[in-house]
Amino acid sequence: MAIVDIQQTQQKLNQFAAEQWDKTLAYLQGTFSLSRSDCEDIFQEAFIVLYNMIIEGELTLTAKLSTYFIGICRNKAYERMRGMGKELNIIDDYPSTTKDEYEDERIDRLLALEDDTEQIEARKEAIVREIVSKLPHPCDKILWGFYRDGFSMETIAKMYNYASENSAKVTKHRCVEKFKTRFMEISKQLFD
Amino acid sequence: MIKDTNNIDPKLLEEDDRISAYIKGQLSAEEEQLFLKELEDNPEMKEKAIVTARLVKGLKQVGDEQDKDIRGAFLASSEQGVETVTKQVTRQRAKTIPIRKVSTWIAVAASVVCIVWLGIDYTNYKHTTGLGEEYSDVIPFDISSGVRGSGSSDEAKKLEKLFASVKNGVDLDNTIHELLLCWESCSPEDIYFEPIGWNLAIAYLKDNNKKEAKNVLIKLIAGTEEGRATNTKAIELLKKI
Repeated sequence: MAIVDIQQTQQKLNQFAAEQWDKTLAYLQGTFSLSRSDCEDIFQEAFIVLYNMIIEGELTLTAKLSTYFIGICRNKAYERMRGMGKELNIIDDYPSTTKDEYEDERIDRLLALEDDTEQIEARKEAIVREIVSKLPHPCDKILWGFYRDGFSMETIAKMYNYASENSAKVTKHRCVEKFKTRFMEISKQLFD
Repeated sequence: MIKDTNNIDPKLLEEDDRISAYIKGQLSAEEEQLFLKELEDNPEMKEKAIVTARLVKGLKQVGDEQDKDIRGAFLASSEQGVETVTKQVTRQRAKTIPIRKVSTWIAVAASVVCIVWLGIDYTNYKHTTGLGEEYSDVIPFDISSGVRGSGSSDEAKKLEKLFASVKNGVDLDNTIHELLLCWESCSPEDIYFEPIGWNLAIAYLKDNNKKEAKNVLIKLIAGTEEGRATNTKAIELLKKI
């Protein structure tokens, strides 16, 4: 492998790990009230588990890495809590499975309400991809967390220190509105 | 604690919930039919549902693409490499690796490089942490009475404690972590936006982390009005860094 490739690989891995660390720390501390040092241990062990699963081909190609990784951390957190003899009456509604195929079907049904041609639809998708890959704070955390990682709004509120679930929902509402405005602006420039 | 309390019609939040529940497959068959029927009669809700569907599809497409890259990166790495990455991001100190045999000339060369490097590094360190000390007290934020007249007392107490740690330069790792959690979900409308941002930047400087201090200051400048003390001082500090 060329040096540039190695550097790029390392960079991607670093970026992924850094994003997951922020999220994992917020999730484990918000949901399980674990110490930072416990979170570090869990994170490191879970990362190796994920690595081994990928290397050994045990992870299905459709599995969302981030969702899967948090799931591993969650199981390790439960193990640790049991090991410490702590009570496990934790409200944690993290999904154990993903329902991608059902989501796709419903998304397509909603998008079909617009009746766009394939070409227009493809251009609109490109605009959306551009916007979602550069979402500003805190929208990136909330929208990716809720729609991609499958966290509930209650969990997101705990993770990111919102006063209540409703408060986080208000921010999410604003984020969707901002997304809509940005999408409309770009669409107008391109399609008018 | 972040409070996003600007009034939003609860009906709109309810609509958001139903759209999300539909997309995530959390409605019963009967509720689904009702929801789709409602979209026919409510053009605003229909538009919102379509926008949300676009957003979710976009997140999925971008996420899947990123996942493909990450899988490739994992496959090209070794277990040791992965372990190192996790230690770096969690800032945990890597275990010391015993040096078995080092030739004398390598040791001498390394020492020379080290001395020069440490000299430069120490000067940088002094400059960065010195700025943290110098600017620590320049803006008198009054947290106890709420910066712009509101804010819960628990929240204020927690922040006061964190700001005291920044001022005294104690427990910086945890303090930065706590402040960062608040800061990342903080918007310019939040009452504690300015004091959190300012103290986080100072904490980073005291921790000799110029890069993160700059990032925070840039966000702080962008989120504050020109002419406000925080805005002026943040620009001044950024230039000095």
